[in-house]
Amino acid sequence: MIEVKNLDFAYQKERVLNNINFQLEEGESLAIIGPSGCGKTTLLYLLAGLEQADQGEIKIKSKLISGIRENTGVILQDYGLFPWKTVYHNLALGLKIRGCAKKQIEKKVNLALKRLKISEFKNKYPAELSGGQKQRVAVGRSLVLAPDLLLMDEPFSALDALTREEMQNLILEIHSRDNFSFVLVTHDIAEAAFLGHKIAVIREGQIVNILSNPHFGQKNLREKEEFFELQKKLRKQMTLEYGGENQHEKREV
Amino acid sequence: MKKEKYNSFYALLLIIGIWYILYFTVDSSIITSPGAVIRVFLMNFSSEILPHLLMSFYRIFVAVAISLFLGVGIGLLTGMHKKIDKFLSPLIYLLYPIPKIAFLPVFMLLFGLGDRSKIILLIVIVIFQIIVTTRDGVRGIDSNYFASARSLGMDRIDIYRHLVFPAVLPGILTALRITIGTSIAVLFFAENFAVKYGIGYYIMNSWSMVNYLKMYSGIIAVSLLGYFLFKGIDWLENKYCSWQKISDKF
Repeated sequence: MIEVKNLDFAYQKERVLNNINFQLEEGESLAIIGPSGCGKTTLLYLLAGLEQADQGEIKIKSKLISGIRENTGVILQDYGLFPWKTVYHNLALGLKIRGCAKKQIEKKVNLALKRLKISEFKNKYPAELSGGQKQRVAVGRSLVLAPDLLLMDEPFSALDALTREEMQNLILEIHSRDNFSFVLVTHDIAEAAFLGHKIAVIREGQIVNILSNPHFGQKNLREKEEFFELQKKLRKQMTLEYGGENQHEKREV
Repeated sequence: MKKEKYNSFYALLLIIGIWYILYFTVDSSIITSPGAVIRVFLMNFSSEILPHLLMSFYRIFVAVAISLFLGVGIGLLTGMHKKIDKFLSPLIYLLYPIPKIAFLPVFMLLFGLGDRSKIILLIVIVIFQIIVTTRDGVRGIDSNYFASARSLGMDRIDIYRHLVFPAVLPGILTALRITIGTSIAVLFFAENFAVKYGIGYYIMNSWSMVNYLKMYSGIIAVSLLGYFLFKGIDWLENKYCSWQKISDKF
């Protein structure tokens, strides 16, 4: 689904990403985890086609990415909803831009509203919604476009713990039904362990390790010991210095 | 709605009350009785005042419409394109503070004594306010909205239509409120030169004929013209920018 090779990106003269390489199969998910300022959001923007790499290549479905891709859905950190449009019109916007007929837009948007349980808010403005409700609208705005790839930039960071878990469950539920691939950028270890088939640990612009998560999608994963073990491993990866044990683990994966 | 009506009524009562106090305390024929003025106003409204008022409204409407069209266009372009801004900003900053009202004789010589010179004077006075407000409104849009718009696949026209214009509309309406106040004041001055119709002419003509009742009737007409224009902008704001009131509340 995604193939990233030797990717470099610098902002003005500051190097943000350095020699990024990874692959993601169709239907798989990748959680990118790292501290603030490590370049994870830039990597997501490159995958979305919102930024252009200085070197290297990104292929999605074997096609080189040079701009915005029609079948990629993007959920930004602060939801990216337009405050002057109602929930309905925020969801309809992407379809309208793609030239869909009014009746088709109505059908698709109403279906998405129903699936995300936000039909009752369809005539409200984003400012009238809670964080969780806004997040559902942001998810709906991407899903209504039926993407084969969903990119999310710390989508749940502003939510309280319970709402965050609820939203994570919702993403898993939609993913298992629609079978799209998704890439999630987060600084939350538990979130990465819960939502990633693969988990890329990124530090100072470099991927220091990519872990596989064999427990992805398991029922009641949050209560299982493997989940805590994986989090422990991730925590260690995030705090370790370069080289040594770190490099050793990279070979293991 | 009821509360709003009550507020307007309260303002009217307060103004008339103060006017009565002045009428009874100031010993001068220039302060006339509000009751007498209202009677003259009602008597002469359709026969005398309305044609003058409509003429002034026409001049303001045409000038503001042209200023909005050009000002919003230039403001959007300067806000969105740094190169255009770099070129136009020094021109705007140099021309904006000039007291353009002093150019009325020049405009009258260049564009004639009729409506055109008055409308052009109004345009050159109000357009800068609209340009600067629109440009600053565009600059104030959070860059995340642009990322969001591009991620949805919007092209340049879509971005103007769905993002930039709705985002700056509340600012444009605020600028419109300020420019309408300015327009009425400027027009009052401009209508004293080479016109036979216009509420400014009506007021000053009544004053020179020492007919203070008619002069105050004209002033009431100007006030009502302003009131209804401001109410019109309020209506536009409620219809197209209701999201902003909700955002402010939360």
